[in-house]
Amino acid sequence: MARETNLIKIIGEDNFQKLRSSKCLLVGAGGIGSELLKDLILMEFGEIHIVDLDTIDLSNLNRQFLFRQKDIKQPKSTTAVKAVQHFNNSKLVPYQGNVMDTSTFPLHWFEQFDIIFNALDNLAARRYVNKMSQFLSLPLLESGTAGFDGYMQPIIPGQTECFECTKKETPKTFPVCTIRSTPSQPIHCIVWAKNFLFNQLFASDASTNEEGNNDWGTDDAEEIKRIKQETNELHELQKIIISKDESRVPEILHKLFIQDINKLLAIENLWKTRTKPTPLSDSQIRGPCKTNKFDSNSVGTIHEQINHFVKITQKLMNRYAMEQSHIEFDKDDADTLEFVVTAANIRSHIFNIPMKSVFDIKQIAGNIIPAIATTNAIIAGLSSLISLRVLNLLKYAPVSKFTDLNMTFTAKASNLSQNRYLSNPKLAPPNCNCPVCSRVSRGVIKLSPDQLKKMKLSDLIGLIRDKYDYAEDISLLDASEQRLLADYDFEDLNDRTLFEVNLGNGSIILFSDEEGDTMVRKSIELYLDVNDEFPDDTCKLPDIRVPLVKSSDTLSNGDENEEKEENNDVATATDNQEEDGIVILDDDEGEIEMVTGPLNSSKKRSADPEDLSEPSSKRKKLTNESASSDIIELD
Amino acid sequence: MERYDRQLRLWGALGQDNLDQARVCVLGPATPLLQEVSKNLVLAGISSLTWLKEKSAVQSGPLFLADLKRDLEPLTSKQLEYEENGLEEILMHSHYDWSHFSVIILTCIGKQTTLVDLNEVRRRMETKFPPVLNTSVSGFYGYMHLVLSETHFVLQSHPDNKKYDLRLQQPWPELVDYVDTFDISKMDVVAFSGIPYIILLIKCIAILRKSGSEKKITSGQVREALDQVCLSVGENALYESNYVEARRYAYLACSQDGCRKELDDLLRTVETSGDAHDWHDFYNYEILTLLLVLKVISKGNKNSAFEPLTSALPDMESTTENYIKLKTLYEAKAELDKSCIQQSLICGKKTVSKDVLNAFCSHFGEIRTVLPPKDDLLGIFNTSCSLLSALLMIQFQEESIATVALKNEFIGLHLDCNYPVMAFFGGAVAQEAIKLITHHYVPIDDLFLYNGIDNSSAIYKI
Repeated sequence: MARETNLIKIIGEDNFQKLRSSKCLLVGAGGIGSELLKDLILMEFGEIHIVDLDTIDLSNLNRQFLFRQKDIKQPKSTTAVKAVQHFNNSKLVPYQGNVMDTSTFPLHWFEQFDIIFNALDNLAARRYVNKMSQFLSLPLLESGTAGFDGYMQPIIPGQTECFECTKKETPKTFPVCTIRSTPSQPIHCIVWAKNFLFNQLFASDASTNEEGNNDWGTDDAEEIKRIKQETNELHELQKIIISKDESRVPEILHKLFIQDINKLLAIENLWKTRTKPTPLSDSQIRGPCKTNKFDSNSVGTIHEQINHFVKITQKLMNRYAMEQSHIEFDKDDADTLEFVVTAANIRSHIFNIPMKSVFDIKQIAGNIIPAIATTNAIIAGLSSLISLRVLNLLKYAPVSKFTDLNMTFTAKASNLSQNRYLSNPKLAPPNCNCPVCSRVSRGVIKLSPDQLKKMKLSDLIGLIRDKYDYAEDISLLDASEQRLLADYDFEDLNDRTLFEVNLGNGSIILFSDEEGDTMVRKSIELYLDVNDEFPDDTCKLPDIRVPLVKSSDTLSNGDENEEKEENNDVATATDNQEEDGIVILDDDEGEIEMVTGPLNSSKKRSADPEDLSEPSSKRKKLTNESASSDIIELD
Repeated sequence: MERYDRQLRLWGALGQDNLDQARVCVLGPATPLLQEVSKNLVLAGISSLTWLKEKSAVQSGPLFLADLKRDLEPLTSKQLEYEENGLEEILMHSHYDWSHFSVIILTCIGKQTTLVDLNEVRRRMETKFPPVLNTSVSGFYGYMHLVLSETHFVLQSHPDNKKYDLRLQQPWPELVDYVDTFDISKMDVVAFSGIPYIILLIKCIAILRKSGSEKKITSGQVREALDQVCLSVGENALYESNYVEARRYAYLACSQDGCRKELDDLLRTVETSGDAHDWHDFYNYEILTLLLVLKVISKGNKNSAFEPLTSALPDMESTTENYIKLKTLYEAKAELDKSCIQQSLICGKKTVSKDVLNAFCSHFGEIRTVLPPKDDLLGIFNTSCSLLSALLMIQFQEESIATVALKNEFIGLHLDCNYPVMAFFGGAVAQEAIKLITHHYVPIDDLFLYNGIDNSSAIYKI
């Protein structure tokens, strides 16, 4: 479609040609993604590549304006591209895939772009794209929204803060004991019903490892023993599900809500300062089974909850057999939601906790982040506008240093009367303690597949040591999986080839100096770019200078621990996302958490009336709400 | 409702019902701004959209919707009522029904006479005229101006931090009786640790009052009294979490000044909500009626202020038993207050819908008001703000000498359409319209200015 372009007037003919020849990557075609796609097309970016893993869902349609009812279950990326054809004048390339999949999107694929727009819905992918942008020194425009709140942050590698320079809120966790034995809030029962009961009955392979480093939240040996035994008994319950015998559902009720509660009651230590739970009675369980439809906004009686629990368990039993013995919890799957709602409410009733409506439980169990078109439009507008400055295409507003640019937050809607619609702090320089952009040097090793199969780990270590002048005592880590490959007292893998120690295209290794007393060589993180177009003998280390930096033993130890801890957290979060699909949120973008004040500020419960009097710091840091609202049972 | 699930979580089913019935009128030439605003509102679920089209000689910039009616219809699950008319003809039509719109949005109006004419209609219709959002964008800049014709009430303003109405200073008799059942001096630490901090604080205030402290109680005094009370259990009590909470929230027990000055001022002068027919938005009438009922009840109570208790109780350290008992007391009192209001409504022969009454009682502390401006639609022309006057000059094509001087101050002002800025404004304007329609969240009061070079913004009152 031909049209007179205004942008020439805005940025000038020569810069317009630059824009027409530039390529951008748009990660996410959901809420912010559809808005951005439209804006970037109307700004006439030359080429736009769109990556999205998701398919379209009914609850997307209140804001993802490129999608229609008939598109439900279709891939977002390709559908979005089809929907914009009538006003499109750019080359569009859609991909349905996970941006973290190194086989489809290896590092050199990212290399083709001039700028990356993030319109993502989860922490893991945000972190990953941030890392890619750091490896390749590509500018990244990070963004997110939750309800009326939104943020947009330009990230210029080496010059401004990266996504990881500020600590992100880590997922909320509950001790096992609170979930399994002494719930005191509705959320404890919801976590129990969803992450524990539902998974055990419908989504597990009947072998769950309860051993290991668990935060039991109790030292009571008797109680730990009981929890373990209970898990075994749950496998028995799963057998009832497998049996498909509907008449046996009351057995499940009896076990969960009478027998187990009585066992808990027998542990008197638990109830010294707590109100005792009241198990269901036999008559309640054997009551008549009539059901009427659940109203999603009201709670109903305990009898209704029990009746619904029986009905829905029977239904899921039959589905279990038909769906290859595996059902995932999905907040948009009404059956799984109803199971979690009724199970959680019955448990709440037993523990004298208020029951919750379907609507409320859906929000908690589904990690639902509110989302509207307006905030997405605002954030996408801000993000596409600033791309002109990031690419330095505005002659009359030239950027001499990137820390002159602003990030932007939309203030809480309710604060408008206090004259804060947008806050726009200037970008900060990289945080010198950032584990991603500052604490390590970074580069890409180009390897042929042949070399990958031939080269021994010890050869690689030697090459790196010589090239960057590292001391004798080093450590090598597979950073993608937090796996130790070699250090001074672990050399078992040294004679294996890179291929044999599971390194391959997309692997990221971390090489560190473990010797220096006062000065150490900075650690280096290397991305393995294995490409069969390289000649067979290719093994090219990046030509970068790795400086010596001060090391203070105590400090570096402390830091190391902290770093490790953080990495563990990430691992937990990611695992859980995959296992329970907690973070399925189709809310594309949804996540921010405003953390005010110092980073180590203690976590406050949102129920605290005190929060109201806390002055919010001028500069708000964003972290990821999807993470903070994740519910994870340390299990 | 599944389609609106994600936004229902912001304004609830009642807010969505309001959107469901909302009729929006957009005025202006075909611009990206008008399209963006319309798209965002139709997505949110409004029922009817009327476009009063201004003819414009100016090139509009890229439009992503080729045909507004055809392209907007698929964005909603229901039948969208759509109407399109020439603006000039409608303005000449003296009987045009403006009052049936929920909100009127002016986008990039090109002729000053349009504003003048519309302002005249507004003056004639007085409070029956809908709220107006007047907005225009040029280059990297833009403004948005809200002009109300009647007081707008926000029932749920969703403050960042929920303030709980705990009545620590004025516990009602049933609560006092319950507090008295705790004889702390006879307790061991275990029993003590299960007492909610609310009860500890009420005890402290009672002690301070008894000792003759008639003046304003300070949080220092409360903490002192708290230590005394708790030490009677033993040193160890000071390590219990409920003690720690009580100490932290001691300030809640002090006299707090009301932060709803505007509301209080309003109630001081207003005696009647008048005839419902004089109101454009029945919802505003209902809220004012309820507020006046409170005033009547207060008078009957020898002028001690009557405010309905909201019944919400924060989470706190406590045994489940104590907590539930406390919660039951708060709920019973809230129920009582509500029925008191209902009684008074009946006596005053007023009716208010049940939903509004319930929301009113359970969110009483969140009520905010936005008053109509002293000035009118043309108020923006009396501005001393240089950005606003520059924007208005561009908007109404007054190429005078002054613009030359302005050039250096506002780079990139003389540009027809900068798409991202239009998209940003489309979001912001639709958002304010949604706030007006749902009566959730406080809308801007009353002028918003934006500078897209560094994303700075400001809100002024004209």
